[in-house]
Amino acid sequence: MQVTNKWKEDRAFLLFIAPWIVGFLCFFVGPAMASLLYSFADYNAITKPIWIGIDNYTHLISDQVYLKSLRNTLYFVFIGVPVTVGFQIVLSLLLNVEIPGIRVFRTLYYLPYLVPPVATVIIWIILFGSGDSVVNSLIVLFGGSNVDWMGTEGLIKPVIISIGMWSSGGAVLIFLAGLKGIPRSLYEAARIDGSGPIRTFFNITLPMLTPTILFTVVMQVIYYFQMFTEAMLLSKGGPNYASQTYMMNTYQVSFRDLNFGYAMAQSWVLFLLILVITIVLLKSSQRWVYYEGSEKGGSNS
Amino acid sequence: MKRSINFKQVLVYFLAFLIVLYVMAPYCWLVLSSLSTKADLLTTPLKWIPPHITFDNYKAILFGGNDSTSDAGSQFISALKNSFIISIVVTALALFLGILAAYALARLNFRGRKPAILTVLLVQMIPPIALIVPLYIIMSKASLMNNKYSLIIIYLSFVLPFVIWIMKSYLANIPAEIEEAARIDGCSKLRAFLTIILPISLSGLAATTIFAFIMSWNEFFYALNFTTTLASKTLPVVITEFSSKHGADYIMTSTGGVIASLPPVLLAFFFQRYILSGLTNGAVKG
Repeated sequence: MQVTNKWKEDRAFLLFIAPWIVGFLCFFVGPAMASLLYSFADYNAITKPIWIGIDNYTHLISDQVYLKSLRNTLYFVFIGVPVTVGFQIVLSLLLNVEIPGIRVFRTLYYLPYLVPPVATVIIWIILFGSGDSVVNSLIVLFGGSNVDWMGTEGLIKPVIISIGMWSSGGAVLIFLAGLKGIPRSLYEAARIDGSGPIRTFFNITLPMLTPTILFTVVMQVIYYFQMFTEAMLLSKGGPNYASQTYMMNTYQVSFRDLNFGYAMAQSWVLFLLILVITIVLLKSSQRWVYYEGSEKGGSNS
Repeated sequence: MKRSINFKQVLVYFLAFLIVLYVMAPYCWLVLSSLSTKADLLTTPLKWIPPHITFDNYKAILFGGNDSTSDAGSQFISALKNSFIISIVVTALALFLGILAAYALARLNFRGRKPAILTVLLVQMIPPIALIVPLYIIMSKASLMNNKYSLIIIYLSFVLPFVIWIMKSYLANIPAEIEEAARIDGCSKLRAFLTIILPISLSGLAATTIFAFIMSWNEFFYALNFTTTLASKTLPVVITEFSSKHGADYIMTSTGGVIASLPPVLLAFFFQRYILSGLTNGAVKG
């Protein structure tokens, strides 16, 4: 193919990348750079920013509420992500069994994913509210006594993680797609070799699912690091900051305290945390993620 | 052998039933609350099944004229309209711009292809709060504050990369030979794309449409901060106000929640058979 001809044809498509690139520069790179600059300034969005160097960053170390929100968020990431992803895998394995009527179940389980997070939080307030809530009434029915789910420091985080689990139908969908992509011949070969269901799961299903697991874990890590709506609307950070998430804290520093420079510094630290963990996950993936062929699937990002 | 299969089936049904209970019960509770009267919802001990089923809450939220919330009706309807306009415009634009960009990324070799794909992940990783003040300044300079355009632009900035990402891996899975055959017959690249690639990627498009629509329909953080007037407030913002501003009106909130969940549910129901096959053939294989 001649160069000029190729250029002429490719130009049409490059034209369609242009809106994305322009948008990316104007509404992402530009704002990101501005925000990085503000993170080194004392800035309240009304008067002019004053350059204060790394003061915003050094202040973080002694900010007790900030440190607690960081600890809470790390709890969500290191406990919430494995629990949620494990739950999703079990769920998708179950929904992948071919039995009559399973299609109905496959349709039902992603209903929660479609419910707006705002409404989900309302459901959780009705379910887990203190006093005569649904869950408490059930506990009383079986002879227990009321539990103050929202008002106990040790309970609020698991309650929030249960929201994440409930609304994770989107990821289950992706796992189901991953399971459907495993060649049937592998299972037949395993059966002929006399491998039982548990060995087949660990030797075939799980390794073949690792690309999907990597993708889902990265997405869930980002989700839990940036947890905002659920914690903000469910418990407003309480009790005693036990559900104060990182994003929530930064949000309050911005819009309640109007300390935007400090808030930007916090968000860049959060970005770095997410970036480092994502890079570690992607780098380590070469060791635990199984890729069939060299570049099948084409998505080699 | 036969007996063991039966046992397995019973077990699977039982577990599936438990999951349905776990998935459905909370949602059913939302629906039940929206059908209750205020008095019934507040009685103790808790009533498992509301003694009076009423559609008054739906009437009130859709047509106004109820004393429970100041002007819930008018607010809700305008928010519903805003949410529809914003989500549909964002989804349509993101699909139109996204699929062609995705095709370019999947098939054509040009410099900067790989970094371009990496930026998609980067967009997800930056916390929205880092960008909100600069975006705020841009929008007010452009006089787009409190106006649907600002949300449309911002949503596009993360829905479009998402669409490009999903469609790119979907398109990369379609064997290049298919279009090469057409090219030999004298088709231009663009025509081969429109007449051959596009029709066979419809199921991938359906799945992507749903995800893109839900992303903009459910978005809360930017909507909360960029809309303060009726002209631009979206559903999640107005529903939240039911539960915070007007003294925790759970009934209105659940009624709003049920209505807000209907469009994505109907959309998913409508595209149901495409969703799974769409994802199986592309999306996230590494």
